[in-house]
Amino acid sequence: MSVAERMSRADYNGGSIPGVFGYEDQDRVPLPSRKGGGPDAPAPKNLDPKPIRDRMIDRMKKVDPKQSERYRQRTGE
Amino acid sequence: MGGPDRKTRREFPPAKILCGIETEFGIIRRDVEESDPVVESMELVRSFRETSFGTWAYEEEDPRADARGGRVDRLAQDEEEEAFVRSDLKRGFSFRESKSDRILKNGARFYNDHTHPEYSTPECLSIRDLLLFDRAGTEILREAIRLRESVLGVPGALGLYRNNTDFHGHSYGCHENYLLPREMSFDEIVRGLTAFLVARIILTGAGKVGQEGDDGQRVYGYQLSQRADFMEVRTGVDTMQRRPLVNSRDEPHADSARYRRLHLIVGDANMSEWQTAIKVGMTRLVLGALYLRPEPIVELEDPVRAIREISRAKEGRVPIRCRDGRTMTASEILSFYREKVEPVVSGPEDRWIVDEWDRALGDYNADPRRLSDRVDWVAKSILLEWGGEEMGLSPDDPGFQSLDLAYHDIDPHDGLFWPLEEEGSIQRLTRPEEVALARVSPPGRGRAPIRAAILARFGDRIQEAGWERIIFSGGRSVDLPPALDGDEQEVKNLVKKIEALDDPSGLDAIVNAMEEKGEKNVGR
Repeated sequence: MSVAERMSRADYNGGSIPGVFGYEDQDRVPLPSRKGGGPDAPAPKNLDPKPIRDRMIDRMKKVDPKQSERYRQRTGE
Repeated sequence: MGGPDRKTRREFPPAKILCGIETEFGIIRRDVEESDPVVESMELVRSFRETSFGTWAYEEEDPRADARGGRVDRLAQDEEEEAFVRSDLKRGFSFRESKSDRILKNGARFYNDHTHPEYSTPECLSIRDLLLFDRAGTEILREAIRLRESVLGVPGALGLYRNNTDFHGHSYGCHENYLLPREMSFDEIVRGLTAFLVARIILTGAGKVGQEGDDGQRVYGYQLSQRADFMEVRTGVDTMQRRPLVNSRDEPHADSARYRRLHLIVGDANMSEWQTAIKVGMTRLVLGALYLRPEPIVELEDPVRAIREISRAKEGRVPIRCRDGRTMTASEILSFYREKVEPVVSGPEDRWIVDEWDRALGDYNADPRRLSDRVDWVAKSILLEWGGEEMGLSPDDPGFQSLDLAYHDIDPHDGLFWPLEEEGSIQRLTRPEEVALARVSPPGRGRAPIRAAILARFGDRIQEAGWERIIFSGGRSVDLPPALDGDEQEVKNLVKKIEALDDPSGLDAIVNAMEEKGEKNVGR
């Protein structure tokens, strides 16, 4: 969609949908924050060994174990 | 050296530091024994059609300009680069064809860089925007894969990896860019920032199986950072060899009398959005603090050695010797910097960064596994434990490196990171509907929406375009100021004016108005 087309939309807000990328969003925080870490803080939702472990094991078993040996890239930057 | 003292400096809060990240992806063909990486990267980029403009203005690029003074005659990588160019030319592609540069509708740059598809976010003024446009890049790469595979007629033919190593000594980057006032000297940046960059890997590392670089290569062992092995000098203009902790390339993509762009190549490519946010957010705050107080906060005796020691130590816990003779751990260094940034914290986004910084250090000090919902090196190490146990891998089994590589696979059906994020075991900070919009629209503030409007209005009359400069057929050109001020409404008004122009000559008045406004913050 071109800029002109987007500008014709009723919800156009300078290249963004309202309240998403806006300057006013500087007053928003990306996520609710839990202040303070450390041993007394409530534990974050860590990797749950039960359901996620099984799912991840299944996916890891599908990884070709020789993949990294064959993986060659040129130096980048 | 050194700029004016703090009393003479204008207000320049971290939220005015325009930032962006450029990510090079590893690329392979899975369906053939051998493939040409130049062709694969080039064709992948070309397959993505949702572009805004396709002729990049290379004249604004000068990787040999050195912020320490002057311009070097040669870079360490020139010989290797020239050999690559010669071999690439034999394929029959011109330089421009090989690069296949595109400016996307969202203001990003997408091109083939040294055989790696590279996505550079548009310039962003908030960390939230940066995350959205970075994540949009992942979606764009996935779409490019789908399109390319449809041409090849082989679903699953391509693999793309957001990582930094091929485990055989070749590295590629995820670079950060911060636009700073020119009065902040490069020397004071290096002295003030280096210890922070070394220490931050305990929170920003992507994790790596094995070791590379001039200390020797091995397939076993685990370290925090993908890039630490490849850092060789404290500062320098090179990027492909003799890699520096602080790159001195002096290529502002803005008025060089008023701005300098800090181009950092030391960081890892993160899968975790939280890490991308905290990496750029912390760094921006530290730069803001250094601008106010241009003096070293902590100086390390040997920072290159230190980043490797921290990366390779269990959980990054190792005492590092400072120039004043004391020793500090990475956590202590980060705590020290955290205290120093408090005076420049302003606004909820800065506050979010420092609250997360505090919480993460607290969790790291208590038990790094508490960071498994935010930090790649922690989450990956847990996965490797599970995989090793379940599959009976010995500690030196190269299969661990394959699991490491798979963590960074951007395919949602194959990559090991994505189920963790989908299940909520790793935090996601962006919303899919926001990312979908960031794929096709530029940010609401800064230079990117202005550039996008000009390209949309006058695309058929433009010869070349880059971050700063737009060159029209016939020779007229405009240099876009970074537009650090102005809310979305003001930008929207400027876009409307551009839309209404009949001739590019009318852009001069708009650009002059933007420059005048910018004088408030960064003067000559």
